[in-house]
Amino acid sequence: MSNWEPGASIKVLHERSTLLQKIRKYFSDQDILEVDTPSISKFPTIDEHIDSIEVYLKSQKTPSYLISSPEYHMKRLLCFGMPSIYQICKAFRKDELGNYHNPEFTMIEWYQLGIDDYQLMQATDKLLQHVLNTAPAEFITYKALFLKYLNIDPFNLTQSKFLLCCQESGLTPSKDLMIKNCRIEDQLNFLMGFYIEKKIGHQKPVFVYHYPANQSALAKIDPMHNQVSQRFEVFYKGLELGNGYHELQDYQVHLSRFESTIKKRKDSDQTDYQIDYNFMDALKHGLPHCSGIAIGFDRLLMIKTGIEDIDKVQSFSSKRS
Amino acid sequence: MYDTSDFRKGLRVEIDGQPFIIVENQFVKPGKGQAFCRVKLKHLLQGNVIDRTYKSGEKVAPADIVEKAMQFLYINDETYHFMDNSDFEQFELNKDQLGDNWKWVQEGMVVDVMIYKGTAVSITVPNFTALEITYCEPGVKGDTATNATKPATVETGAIVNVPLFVNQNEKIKIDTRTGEYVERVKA
Repeated sequence: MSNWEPGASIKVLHERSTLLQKIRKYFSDQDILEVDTPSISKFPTIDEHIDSIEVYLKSQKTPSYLISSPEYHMKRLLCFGMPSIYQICKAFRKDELGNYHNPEFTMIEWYQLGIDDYQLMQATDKLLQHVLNTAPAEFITYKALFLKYLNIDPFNLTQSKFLLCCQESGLTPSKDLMIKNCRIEDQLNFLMGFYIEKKIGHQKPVFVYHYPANQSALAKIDPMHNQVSQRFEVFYKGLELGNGYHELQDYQVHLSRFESTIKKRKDSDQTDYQIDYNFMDALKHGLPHCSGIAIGFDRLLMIKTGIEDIDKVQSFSSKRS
Repeated sequence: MYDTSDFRKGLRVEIDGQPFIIVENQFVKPGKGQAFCRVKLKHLLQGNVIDRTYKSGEKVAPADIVEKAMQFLYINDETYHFMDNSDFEQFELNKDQLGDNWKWVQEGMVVDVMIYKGTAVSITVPNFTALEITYCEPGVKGDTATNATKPATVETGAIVNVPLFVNQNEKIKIDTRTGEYVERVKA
């Protein structure tokens, strides 16, 4: 079958262009600087469930990586003294392919100096109102969300409660989630992805905040409740649109989180990743107080156009590239 | 072995010792969590559909299934005999295994026979076939405009609804997917 034609129609490609312009104008009107960082990095992102795509520059033995996010490079710019910045760039993730995923996608990454997660949620809400004409968003904690939709406390989930909850909600969990001693965060992510996500944000965007501390990624732990992190996600029309943090600044905490993630990857036979020492050196120099968010641009366009297949909003998705 | 990145519509896999075909595959990755594939699978022999979720990277065995073009030989005691023309190996299926396809198989017809673990389990016939009418009420001349039909028995013993103008001993083209009359075939 010939695949030379784009997945998106000419009309959608026009809308893509208009949306990009609108977002750029929004940022420039607020004096947030656009930056441009590399797509190829010597080090991968250290994330338990993200695999970076390897590339070989020259015939060297060790691979470089296509960035799965511009986070480390952008934070290095902040450490160097740049003001609030954003970027619209391509990000790459191995094996992520589906109606809402393509291994190469367009990401909006934004860091705002001097604000916390609550303020960034407000700022992101304004951005969504501006570019998608959404109604003012709702805000709910991770715990309240699970209680509301599944009547379970995510900080107190037992194996039998999980299985009962799956049965009542008509879900068949994968085998690894049914064995004893499986990790609660995997079970919670399963319930989030298969059940809750589909049900929320149909009228207006929903910001879910205070993710459990063991899902903090690079967010700070809340100083008032050490069970929760200052990480949030935003959902709209059943789709996850963005993921934000009150950014972790401490060098030592970064190091121990990276080491623990690398250990988890090793324990589950995943590719062994090295810590990015350029990023660590920058952190040693000092990351200013800030909050940051990554937003999936293709998904914004999917919502804007009402199209439910990412292949139909990109020019050439991996099926056609 | 397949892993979840091989999943696609039409892939045949073996689950709990049973052969299934993937009819729907959905990739789900919640936030920073692990990725899953949610698949709908149809049992290749019984036709029932089940729902399964796999952690990304999980391995699944391929179903031991092959499809071969074979010639239909003859019926003996409701057992249908087929032969692989490339190596003359013969396979048999009973009428139940043929489902509705018993209506269309005729001597010499080439069909696709599905073989599971060395045993023939089902067949797929061509989308269109031509069969002779062995019995029907006499035709009504000139009545080509109405949608009225009458039952006609064809050479395999199946009954097909045909327009009123069609006559006994004529050959008709049939869509085997719907079992419907398409047109008369001129001798």
